[in-house]
Amino acid sequence: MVNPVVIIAITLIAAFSIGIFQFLGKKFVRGVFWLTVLFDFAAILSIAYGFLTKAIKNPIMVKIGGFPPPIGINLYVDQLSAYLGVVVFFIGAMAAYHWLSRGINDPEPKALVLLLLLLLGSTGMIFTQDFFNLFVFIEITSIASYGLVASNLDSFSLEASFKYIVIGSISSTFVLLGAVLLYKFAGSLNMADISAHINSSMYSGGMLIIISIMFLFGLLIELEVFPMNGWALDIYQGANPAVVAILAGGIVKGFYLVFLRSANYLKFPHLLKIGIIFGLSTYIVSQFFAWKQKDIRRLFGYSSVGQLGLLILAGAFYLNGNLHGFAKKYMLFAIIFFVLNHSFSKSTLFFLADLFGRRRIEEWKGVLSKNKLFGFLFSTSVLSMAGAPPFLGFWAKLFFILAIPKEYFYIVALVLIGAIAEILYYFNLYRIISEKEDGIFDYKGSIVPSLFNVFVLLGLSAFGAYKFFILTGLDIQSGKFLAFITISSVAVFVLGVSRLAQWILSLGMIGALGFHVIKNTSLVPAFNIQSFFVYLVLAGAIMFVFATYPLSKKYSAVFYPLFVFTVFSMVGISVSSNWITLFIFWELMSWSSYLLINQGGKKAAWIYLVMSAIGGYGMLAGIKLLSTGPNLIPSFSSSSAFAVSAWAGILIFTAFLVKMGTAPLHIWARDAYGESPDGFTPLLSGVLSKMGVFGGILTIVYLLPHLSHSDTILYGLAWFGALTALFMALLAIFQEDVKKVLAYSSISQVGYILIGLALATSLGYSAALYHTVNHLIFKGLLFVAAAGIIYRTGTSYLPEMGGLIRRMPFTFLAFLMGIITLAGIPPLSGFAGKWLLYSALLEKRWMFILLIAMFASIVAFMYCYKLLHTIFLGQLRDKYRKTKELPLPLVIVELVLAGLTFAVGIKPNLILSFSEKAIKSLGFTSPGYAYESAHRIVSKFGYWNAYFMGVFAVGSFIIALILFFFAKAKIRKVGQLDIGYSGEVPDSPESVHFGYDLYAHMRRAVRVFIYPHVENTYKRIYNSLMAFVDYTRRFYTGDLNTYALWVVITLSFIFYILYKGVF
Amino acid sequence: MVFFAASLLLIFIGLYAALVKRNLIKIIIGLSIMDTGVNMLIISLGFVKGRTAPIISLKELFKKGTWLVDVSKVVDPLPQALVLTAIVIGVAVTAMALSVVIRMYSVKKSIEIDDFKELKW
Amino acid sequence: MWYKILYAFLVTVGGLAYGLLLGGISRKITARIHGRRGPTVFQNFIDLIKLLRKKTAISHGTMFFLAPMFRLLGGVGVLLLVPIVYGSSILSNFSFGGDLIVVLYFMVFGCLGMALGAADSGHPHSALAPTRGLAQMAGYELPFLISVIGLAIAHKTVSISGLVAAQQGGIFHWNLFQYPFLSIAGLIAMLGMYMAYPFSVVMAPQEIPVGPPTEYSSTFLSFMFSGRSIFGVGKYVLFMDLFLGGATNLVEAFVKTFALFLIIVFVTNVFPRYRTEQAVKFFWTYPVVIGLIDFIRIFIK
Repeated sequence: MVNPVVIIAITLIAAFSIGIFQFLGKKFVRGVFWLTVLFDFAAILSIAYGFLTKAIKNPIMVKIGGFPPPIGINLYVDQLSAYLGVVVFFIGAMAAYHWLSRGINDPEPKALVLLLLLLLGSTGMIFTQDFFNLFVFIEITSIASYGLVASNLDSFSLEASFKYIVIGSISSTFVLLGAVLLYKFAGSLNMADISAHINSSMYSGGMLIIISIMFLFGLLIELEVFPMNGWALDIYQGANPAVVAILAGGIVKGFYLVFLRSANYLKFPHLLKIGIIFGLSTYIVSQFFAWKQKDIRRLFGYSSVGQLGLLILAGAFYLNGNLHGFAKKYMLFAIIFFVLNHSFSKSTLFFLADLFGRRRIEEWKGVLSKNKLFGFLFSTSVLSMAGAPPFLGFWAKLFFILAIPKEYFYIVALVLIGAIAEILYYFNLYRIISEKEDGIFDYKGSIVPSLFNVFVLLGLSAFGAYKFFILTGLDIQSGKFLAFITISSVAVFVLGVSRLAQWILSLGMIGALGFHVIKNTSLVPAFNIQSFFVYLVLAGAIMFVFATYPLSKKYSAVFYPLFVFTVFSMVGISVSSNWITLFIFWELMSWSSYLLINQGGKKAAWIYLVMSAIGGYGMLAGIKLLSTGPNLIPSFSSSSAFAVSAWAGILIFTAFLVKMGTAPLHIWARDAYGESPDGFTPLLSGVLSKMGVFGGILTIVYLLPHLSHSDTILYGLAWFGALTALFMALLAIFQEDVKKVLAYSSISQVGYILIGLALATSLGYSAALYHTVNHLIFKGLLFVAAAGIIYRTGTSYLPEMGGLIRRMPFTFLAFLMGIITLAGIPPLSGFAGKWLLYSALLEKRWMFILLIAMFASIVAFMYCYKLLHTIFLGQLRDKYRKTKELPLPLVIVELVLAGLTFAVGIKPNLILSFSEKAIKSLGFTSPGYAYESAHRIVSKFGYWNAYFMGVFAVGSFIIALILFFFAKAKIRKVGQLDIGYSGEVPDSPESVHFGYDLYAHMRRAVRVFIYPHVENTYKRIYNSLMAFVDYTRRFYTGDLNTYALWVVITLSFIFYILYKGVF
Repeated sequence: MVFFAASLLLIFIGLYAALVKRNLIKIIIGLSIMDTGVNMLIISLGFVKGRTAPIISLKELFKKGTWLVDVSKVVDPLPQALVLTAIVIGVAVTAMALSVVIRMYSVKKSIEIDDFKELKW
Repeated sequence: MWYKILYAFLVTVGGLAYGLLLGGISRKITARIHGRRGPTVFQNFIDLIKLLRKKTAISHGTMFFLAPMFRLLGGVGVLLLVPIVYGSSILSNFSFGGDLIVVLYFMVFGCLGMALGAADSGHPHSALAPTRGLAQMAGYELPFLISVIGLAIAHKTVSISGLVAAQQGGIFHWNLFQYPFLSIAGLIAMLGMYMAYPFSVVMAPQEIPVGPPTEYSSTFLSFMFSGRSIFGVGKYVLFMDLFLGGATNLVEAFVKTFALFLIIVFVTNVFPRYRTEQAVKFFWTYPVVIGLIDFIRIFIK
């Protein structure tokens, strides 16, 4: 262990020696610089390591000049300051490396001197135990930053620097004032000494309150709180990103620690309220102002400021929020993780912004596809910043939300709204960056620092996850499973040298997990609702992943890893045992599926992500409402112990409704289904949307009975389901893209499932579960077939197709069976779901819902026919004359699924026997229907013999066929253009193919229903918010006087509320 | 009390300059005034009426034959030590600010705030 | 079991004959209204025999080939799934196979087959007809579903035999009188279901030669023709069971179905034709409002 004062001394000496001996040459200067930085880093690391391994137990106290504390100045290094020192020096070293690799245009030695002084100042600031000393170090840090900010010497950086100087001087003036007044008041400058002598009663209107106002005000300026942060944003925008990386990644965190320590020592009055006012407003305001930002650096700036706001909020709660036990610990870790996450990912982002050099966001178009490594680093940092699991930002946010006391629920809500806003703009940026664009990508400088940063970030993310599972005491099984998910998808990426290898690996892994689940009952003890979904996910996934190989050539190397990730996180959802693990895996699923969809339609993926975020964070808010008491993790079964408001249920249900695509939360679905990679869409529709069903069942069974108004909620849900089923079917009719028709069809069908859930009777669950599996079968079939057809024809535009039955007979057969199932026509499997659902609705006397549901299925016939006709029937185009049948894996999957739908149609027990067990595990004694004989199923209202219907249909079909052959033989096939066409022979297939806008007549009847009201409402809300934000962000006028004015106004405000004691 | 009021006045004059002056140099002057105000406040805090400076003069040393000063006859020395540091820092900040202004002038040939409003929103 | 199949076969043949006869009568009545002599009432039998005797020479594709089979099967299926005579195990046919919901969905089977065959012929008009048919179906199914659901809830069953049983005991137990508004809605829907004027745009002999079967001829056409006839009879029986109290013997069944048939014939001959969207809008307004009167009555009961 090194004495901390040595770090400061060495750095100081080095800084001056560089200044004096710079004539010795560049090598000397750089040598001294690196030696110093490395020494400092090693020294501070050794201290931190000492703390980590508990070799150092107590905080280190250094007496400078041998005087004991109250008289002499002393340094005080505890765990937090040591760790933070490591971060500061690491980021500093990285930034310096980055900067040197880009070339410093200012005389290099000066810049290095300033860098050393900056590091020195911030270290001193973190370590010192003396208020005046604190001021001195703050000033050293500030002056060094002023110089560094100006170092580009262009008008931007000089302007930023000058603004910083003026505002920074005001800030340090007040810190100084605070320090000397404190000396006057307490007769000492030593923090611990002062702290020991003051208590909160001294605050009643005396000198001490003025002192604390001075400190608070000075530090809040440095912490860039709204509305005093215009200068900071200008620095982020104008200064050299290398400098900004240190400032945002390291120095500001130093100020933050100083803020926490001063607050702690001086026992700031009303710290919590101050923290809420300033932290929350800073967070929210900057997350929204960033929306309209065109300059990428300023955008990152807004994000940084927002994160600081969150930190202030967290700090205020930690110190003054009356947190106990778990909560206090969680909050501490939230703070640590926020700091680490922001330091490493934001500095990486600034490095990358600097390497590429472009400012305007549009100029970043296509960067991701042009350079994979760059793209990886950027993606990782952005994902972590936005709080995507399993990265560090996610664990920080989760800890934070869990730690906030429940009576501050509005803070949870606002923070989550801010988080949604953050995702909205970050991933708008990401959308642009991941756009496909050709061209050469060039950057100047070294990518190594960013690589290091991201490497550390990944390590920390693993640590974060570990800490989370350890601290919260969640079932360790889930934690292990999370690790397993991550490792296996990374393995698919690393070991998959070619797409074939990736395909085999993914198949193997999903298969192996399936095998494990069947063999090993520890994951799924007895067959219940959870194992029902585990099997559903795995069975669906293995079929769909099998089908992807022929399509995979055009997919990027992350397709299969993400596919595996999504599938396994869905398994995770299904086996989770409490709401928090459910939420974690839910988010994993959302984000990985977002990245997969982003391989296709970027805008669609963005909308999907934003809607998922609304849902996911809604769920988190709901979970927050559920959790009470010392144990902050609400498990499914213990939900019954709490009497909670209906909002908890509604909020939790939002997430599931989003994934189910229930109107009015469906707006993502059309484009996300339509534009996601064709190989992924079957999974999205067949399995992923069913996770909403799973969550819905959990909520309805475990949670809703304990909520007030649960019957109203259920009836409302049923209406949502019915209207979704109807209107999505109506919308599907008028789509001209095969996948978009199927997309609307999917969410319409899931609407039926929602009705089944909302019934909350055993027959309703039977219907829902049956339809869940059945929808997987036929919609998977249809999407797989659609994927193959798109693969063969190169288009998904229905009017472009036609007549393909001649080229793809097997696909047609399968597709036809899929459509018959979709339409619910006996004897295939679709009918059983309809029958069960209608019987359940009849039983419950929900007549209007039943009417709408049945009517929706009639409407569905229209798009069913449309799909069959425009793809397979009518006239085959000349360009498809040589098109082949789909590739073998696709045909196999299609035919297997078609066979399943036939088998299940004749023998619904194949599914019903599973769903019965699942329903019994929910506490019902019967599935709601009975078997009168082996095949005759009876409900309270009706009966139905599936086996007979199948035999009857097939038998009479065969009889008819025999009759037909008996009657006539010798039939000649004629050409497709040989039709009765008013005595003319049409000259081209295009001229007689009826393929565009099949239901023009219907549109005239339903125009008002298919007008995109909901979508336009969303657009209107978004646009008005955008306009509002665009107008209000002019708050930052760029004028120094205005900035100063806001500083003074804030001072008066703080003075008013604290001194007058408004609280 | 007079010192206290005067230094507060100086601080507010400085703040006023930062708030309303459009000329960069004038703003820096404002900052210096603010600095001066703070420094004066620090000194005034340590001041005790009727006491002398806490300085050991050679004359005293020869007269008394000892280094020790009668503590009851001098003002508080610590604020004076602090103010020295504060002055130095203030000078450094002013110097830094002025050099930035020089650079700004060389870039835009202007030292008016209105010409430095590019970074905004 | 075997005798059941035998009876089923007899019912099918009988249904076909009855259907053809009704078609002939319809043509005759229409002719008389027009002031023509008209063909004989057995004209449809003659047509069918003629078609069967013709040689089928061409096919446009697999679905084109299979469609008549589907059509016939759909017609037979509906006829056999609906109990014709209440209380008779033989003339209830295969109604043990499923309740009203099953029948409703099985009705689509034949239509789907026909539509696919039509589309496979490659003739644009053939494909246009199903789209109109489906759109119109979305129209008339709404009032029809209102009446079906209303009746099912009112009588607490969706079994057709159960519904018939609930109407026994005199003419005023018929749904037509018990739930007159539901019945009116259902009977208006029936007009659409039979594509009778003013809802005949699907076949629309003027604009699109003869709708779906444009490209069909000879044996193919004979199958479709007979399928349509049987399907028609099946639907009459269904409506009889739903609204007219079913039948306790064959004569009653004949009388009641013939009454339903007469309604259609008379309406058909006095109305001009709606366009598709006009038909849809019509069905979604008047019959729905009428049906909802009883529907809400049942709902709040």
